[in-house]
Amino acid sequence: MAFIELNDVVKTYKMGEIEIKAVDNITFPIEKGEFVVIVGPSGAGKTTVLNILGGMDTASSGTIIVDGEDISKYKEKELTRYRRDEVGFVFQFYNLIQNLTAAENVEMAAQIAKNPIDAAQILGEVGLGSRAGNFPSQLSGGEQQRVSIARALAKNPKLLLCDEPTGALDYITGKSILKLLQDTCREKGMTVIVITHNTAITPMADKIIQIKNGQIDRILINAEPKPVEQIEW
Amino acid sequence: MSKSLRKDFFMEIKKSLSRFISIMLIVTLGVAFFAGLRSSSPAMKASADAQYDKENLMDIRVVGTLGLTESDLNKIKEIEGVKEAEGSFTTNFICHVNSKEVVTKVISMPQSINDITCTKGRFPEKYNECLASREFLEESGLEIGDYMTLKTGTTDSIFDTLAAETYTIVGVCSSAYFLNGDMGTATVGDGVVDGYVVIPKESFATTVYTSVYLTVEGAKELNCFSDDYSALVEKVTKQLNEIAEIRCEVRYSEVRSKTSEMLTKASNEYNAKKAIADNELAKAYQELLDTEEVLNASKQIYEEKKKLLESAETEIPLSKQKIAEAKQTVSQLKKLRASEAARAEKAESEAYIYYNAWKDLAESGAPEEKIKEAEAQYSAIAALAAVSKAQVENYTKKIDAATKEIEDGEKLINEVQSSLANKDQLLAETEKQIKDAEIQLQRGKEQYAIAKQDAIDEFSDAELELRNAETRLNNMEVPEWYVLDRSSVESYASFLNDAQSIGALGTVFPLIFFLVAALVSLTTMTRMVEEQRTQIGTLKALGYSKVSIISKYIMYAFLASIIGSIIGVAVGEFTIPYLIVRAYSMAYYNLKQTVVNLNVYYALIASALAVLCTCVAAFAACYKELKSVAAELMRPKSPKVGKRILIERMSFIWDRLDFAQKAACRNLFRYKRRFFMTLFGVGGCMALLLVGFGINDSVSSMASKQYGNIFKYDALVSVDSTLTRAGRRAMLSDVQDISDISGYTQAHRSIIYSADNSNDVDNLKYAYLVVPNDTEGFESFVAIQPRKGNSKLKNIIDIIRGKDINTANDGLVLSDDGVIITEKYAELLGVNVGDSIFIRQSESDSLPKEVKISGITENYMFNYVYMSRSLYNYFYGAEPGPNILMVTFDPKADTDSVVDSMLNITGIMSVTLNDETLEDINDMTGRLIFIIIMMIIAAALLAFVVIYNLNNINISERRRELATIKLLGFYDDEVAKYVYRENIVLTVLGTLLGIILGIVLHRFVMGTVETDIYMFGRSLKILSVVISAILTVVFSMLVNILMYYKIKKIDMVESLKSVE
Repeated sequence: MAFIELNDVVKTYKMGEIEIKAVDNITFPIEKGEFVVIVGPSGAGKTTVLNILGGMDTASSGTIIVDGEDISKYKEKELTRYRRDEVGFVFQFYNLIQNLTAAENVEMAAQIAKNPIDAAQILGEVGLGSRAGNFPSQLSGGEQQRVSIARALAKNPKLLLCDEPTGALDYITGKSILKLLQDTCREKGMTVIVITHNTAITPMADKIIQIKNGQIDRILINAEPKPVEQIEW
Repeated sequence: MSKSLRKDFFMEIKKSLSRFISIMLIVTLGVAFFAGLRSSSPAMKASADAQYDKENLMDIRVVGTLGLTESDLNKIKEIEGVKEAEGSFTTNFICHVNSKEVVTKVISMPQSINDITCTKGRFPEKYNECLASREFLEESGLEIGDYMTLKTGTTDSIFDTLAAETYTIVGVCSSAYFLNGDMGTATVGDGVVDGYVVIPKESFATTVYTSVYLTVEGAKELNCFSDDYSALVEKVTKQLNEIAEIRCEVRYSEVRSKTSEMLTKASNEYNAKKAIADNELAKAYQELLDTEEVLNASKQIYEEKKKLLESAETEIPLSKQKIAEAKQTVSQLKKLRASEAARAEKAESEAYIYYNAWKDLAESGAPEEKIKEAEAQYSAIAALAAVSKAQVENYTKKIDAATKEIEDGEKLINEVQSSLANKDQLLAETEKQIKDAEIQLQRGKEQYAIAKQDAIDEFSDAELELRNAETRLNNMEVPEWYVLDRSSVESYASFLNDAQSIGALGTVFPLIFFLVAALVSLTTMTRMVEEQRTQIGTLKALGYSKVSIISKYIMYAFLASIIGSIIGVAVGEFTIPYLIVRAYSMAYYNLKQTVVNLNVYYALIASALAVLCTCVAAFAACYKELKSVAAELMRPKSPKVGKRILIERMSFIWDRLDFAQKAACRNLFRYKRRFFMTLFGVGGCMALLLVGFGINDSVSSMASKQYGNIFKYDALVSVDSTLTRAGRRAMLSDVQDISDISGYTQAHRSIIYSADNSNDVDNLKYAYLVVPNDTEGFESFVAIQPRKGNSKLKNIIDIIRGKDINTANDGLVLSDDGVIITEKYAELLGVNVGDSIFIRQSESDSLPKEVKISGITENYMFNYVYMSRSLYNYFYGAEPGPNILMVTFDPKADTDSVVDSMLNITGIMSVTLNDETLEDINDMTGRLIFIIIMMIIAAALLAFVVIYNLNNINISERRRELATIKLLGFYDDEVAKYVYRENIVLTVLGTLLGIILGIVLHRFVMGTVETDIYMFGRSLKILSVVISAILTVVFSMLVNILMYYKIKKIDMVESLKSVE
C-alpha cells in the first residue's frame, strides 16, 4: 500500500439545479518521500484535489488514504486535526501574518503542532536565519515564500502541499524556491506535492499527475528527475 | 451621479447592509438622545404651562406683612393690565389624628384664580365642610366623610381665624399651585406643611386677606417659562410696587391703634391675675406658718411629759422609804398607845376604888377632913386616868394619820409604777405623731415652693410675652407688600430647576454618542474605501471625476446618517420627552398634562451634527485615496506594515506571549481609529451604566446615611411648645418611665431663613434651626461631623501646607463662637467655615442676626443650623423653648407599644419613627429604576454598535488571515480567540476609561439634578462599579458570541485566492 492513495474520488458541486463534477473518479498513489507535481490547466480540478488532499474539503465519494488512515471518513474536527498535525501548506501568496515577524509566523505553526521543529532552526535551513526578526513587509517575495515553507515544515508534517508556490514570483526566485522544495524532499525524505499549471517544472518531479476535465489524463513516472538548475521555462 | 454609479451605490448598500446599519444605528442613538433629552426640557415646561393654564394659576401674588384689606383689593383691581384679582385667606394650622400631628394649610375656596379641582366627592356647601388634598389624606389617614379638627398650635384661639374648628371632609382636591408635595414651610408643628384643606371663604372669621392673587391680561396665551411672559408680568409688578407704599401706610395706622388697645387690655388682665395669685400664695404661706407653730407646741408638751415621767421614776424608792418609816412609826405608836391604855385602865380602876372609898367615907360621914382627903385622892387618880385616856386618843389619831399616809403613798407608787410601764409606748406614739406632722409640714413647704416657682415662671413668661408684645408694638414697622410672581411658588421653582437639569443632561450625554458616531463612521468608511481601492482606481482610470467618485462614499454616509437621524428624531423627540414628563409627573403628581411637540430646532441641530460627523469622517477616509493616481490604486495596497511596539522591548513579558497575543498587541496599536472608537464606545457604555447605577446609589444612600449614620435616634417626638415648665417636667418623667426608651434629649427646632449678606432678602434659603438642650451627649443622637471624604482631602491639604493633622476627634463641637451648618446649606449660601451668615426667624424678619460658621457637618436631607443655647439666648434674649425630643429605643423594644405609650403622655403631640421615614423615602426612590433601565438600554446599544462594528471590520479585513490560520489547522475556538483577544483587551481598557468617565459624569449629573434640600451621596458603591463592569463585559461578550458564527463561516479556501 502506498503512502497516499486516492481511490475513485469524486467531488460534485451543486450549482442550483445543475450538478458539476469537479473531480470525476480519480485514483492515484503517492509513495513516501516522492516529489509529485499535479499539473493541469485552470479549471481542470487541481485545486479540488488539493482541497481534498489537504483536508479542506471532503470528497463526495471514494477513499483517501494517508499513511494508513482514511481521511475521507473524517469529520470536520478530525479534518482540522489532520491539517494541524499532518499537512504543511505552501501558498501562492505566502499568506503570512503581516503583524508577526518571520520567526513569529513560523512559531505560530510550531505552537499548535504535535512534535514541532524549532523555529529558528528551520528558518536557518530555509536560509533566512538572519532575517528572522523582520516583518513580512520587510522581506522580498522569495523570502516571504521561504518563511511560508519554513512555517509549513516547522510542523514536521507528513506531506507538504504547495499550491502554485512560484505563481507570484519571478523566474529566478521561483527556481530557488523549487530547489528548496526539491532539497527538502531529497534531504528530509519529505513527501512534497506541488500543484501548478506550469508544465515546465514537471521534469523535476518523481511523479507527474496530469489532470484534465476532472479526470486523470495520465500519470508519468520520472525515473530520473532533473535537478531544478537544469530546468528552464 | 450616472445611472451605473447610482446602481452601484444601491448595490453597495445592499451588499454591506450591516455596515450601513451600524452607522445608521449609532446616529439614531446619538440623535435620539440629543434631540430627545434636549426637547424634554421644553416639553416639561409646556406640560406644566398647560396644567397651569387649565387651572388658571395666578401670575402674581401680593402678600402684605399685615395682610390686605378689601380696599387694597379694589385698588389692585384698578391697575392696568390686571385681568382678575381675588383676595384669599391662607393659614397654617395643626390637625391631630391618632398618632400624627398634621401641619395643615387651610386655604379659602377660590372663585376663579388658582382653581381647585375636585377629583373625588363634591365641593363644600356649608361653612363646616372642606376639601382635603391627597397629601393631607395620606398623612392623616382620613377619608371622605370623616371629621377633622383644627388647632392653632399656639396659645391663640382658633376662633380668631375660623368660624368652626371641626370640618367634614366632603371631597378630595388637587391644585396646580402644588404640583408636587412641597407646600412650603409653617411656623407651627414641625415646620413643614404636610397637606392642605380648602374651606369656604365664609368659614374664615377674619376680613383681612392673607394674600391677593391676580392674573395678567394676555399672560395665559404665553408660555409661563418664556421671557415674553416675564416681561408682561413685570409691567404689572412694577405698578403694584408703586401703590404698595401708600396702601401700607394706611394699614399701619389701622393696625397700630387696634393693637395698642388690645395690649392695654391684656396688661390689665395680667395685673389682676397676678394680684390674685400673689394673694393665694401668701395665704398658703400663712397656713404653713400656723401649722409649724402648732407643731412646735406639741413638741414642747411632749418634752415636758417625758421629763416628768423620768422624774417620777426617781421618786419611787424615796416614797417607799417614807412608807416604811411611817409603818415603823405606826407600830411604835401602837405600842405606846397600848401601854398608855393599860395605864389609863389601871388609873380608872384605882379611881373607882378611891371613888368608892370617898363615897363610903362621905356616907359614913367620916371627918370632913378625911372625906376631903379621900376626895382629893380620887380626884388625883381620876385626873390621871383622864390624861392617859386623852393620850390614847391622841395616839389613835396619830396612827390613823400615818396609816392614811402609808395608803396614799402605796397608791401613788402603784399609780406611778403602772404609768411607768406604759411610758415607752406612750412616748413612741407621741413621737410618731410629731414626726408625721413634721413630714406633712415639709411636704407642704415643698408644694408651696413648687407652686411658687410655677407661678413665678408662669408670670415671668407672661410678663415677658407682654413686654415682648409691647416692644413689638413699639418696634412695629410700617408693613410691607411682597409682590411675588410664579417663581415664589415652591413647586414651580423646583419644576423649573428640574427641567433645566434635564436640559443640562441633554448636552453632556449625547456628546459620547456623537463622538462614537464620528469614530464609527470614520473607521467604517476607511475600511470601505480600502476595500474598494481597485474600483476607485478603475473609475478614476475610466475618467470619472473625483467628485463623482467621492460622492458615493459621502452619499453612503449621508444616507445612513439621515435615515438614522430621522429615526432618531422620531423615536427620541416623542418617546424620551414623553417618558421624562411622565416620570417627573410621578413626583409632580398634580401635573396631569403631557405636551410633547416636535422640536424642529433640536431635531435639525441633532441631525445636522450627526450628518456632519459622518460625512466629514467619510470625506476624510476617501481623501487620501483619491490623491493617489489610478495605477497605484489598481495595484493591491500593500498591507499595513507590521510595527514593533514598546512592549517588545520588555522581553521578559514579550517572550512569554504566544503569537496570537503578540499579534493582538500589535493590532491594538496599529489601528488607532478602531482603538479609540472601541475605547470610547465601551468606555461610554461603562460610564452610562455607572451613572445609571450611581444615581440609585446616591439617592438611596442619601436616605440610609441620613437616617442611619447622622440621625442616630429612633424617633422624633414633637412636644407641645405651650407646656408650662411643670407640665414639661411631668412629661419628661413619664417618658423616662417607659422602659423601652433607652435615652432621650430635648431640643428646640424652628425654621429660619438665611443668606450670606444682611441685605439679601431675595435669596433667603430656609433651614431648621436646632438648639440642643444639652450639648454634651447630643452626638449620640445626631452625628455632627465633617463628611469623611472631605476631611481626608483636608488632611492631605493640611499635610501639603505643613500643618499638623487633627487626628484626635472628627466630631465637631457646638460652641458659643458660632453655628454649625450642614454641607448643602453651606453650598447653597456659598459660605465656608469662618464666614458669616445672616439668620432671620421669618422671611419678613427685619433684624437678621449675623453669626459665624464654626463648622460644616455631613448631612443629606434638609438643611440644619445647629446653635448652642447660650448663643440663642444672646441673640433672642430668651431661652429656646424645647419643642422636640429625640428618643432612642432599646434594640429589642416593641416599637408600636412604645409609640402608643408615648402618645398617651400629655404634651406629646406626635411621634415620627425614623424607620418609617426611611421606608417612605425608599418607596419614592424606587421610581429611579426607570432612569436606570433607560441608561442600561442606551449603554447596551452603544456597546453593541461599537463592538459589532469593530468585529465586523476586523473580520472582514482579516478574512484572509483568518482563513489561513484556519487552514493551518486552528480549531474554530482558537480562531475566535485570536480575534477576540483584541476585543477583550479593548473592553477591559474601555471599562477602565469608563470608570473614570462614569465617576466624572456621575458627579456632574448628581450636581445638576440636586435640589435645595437634598444632598445626594457623591460616592459610587463598589458593587455598582462591579455590576456595570460585568454588564459591559457581558454586552461585549454577547456581540462576540454573535460574531462567532461569522468566524465559523469563513471559508478557508479563500486563503488560496489572490489578494483582491
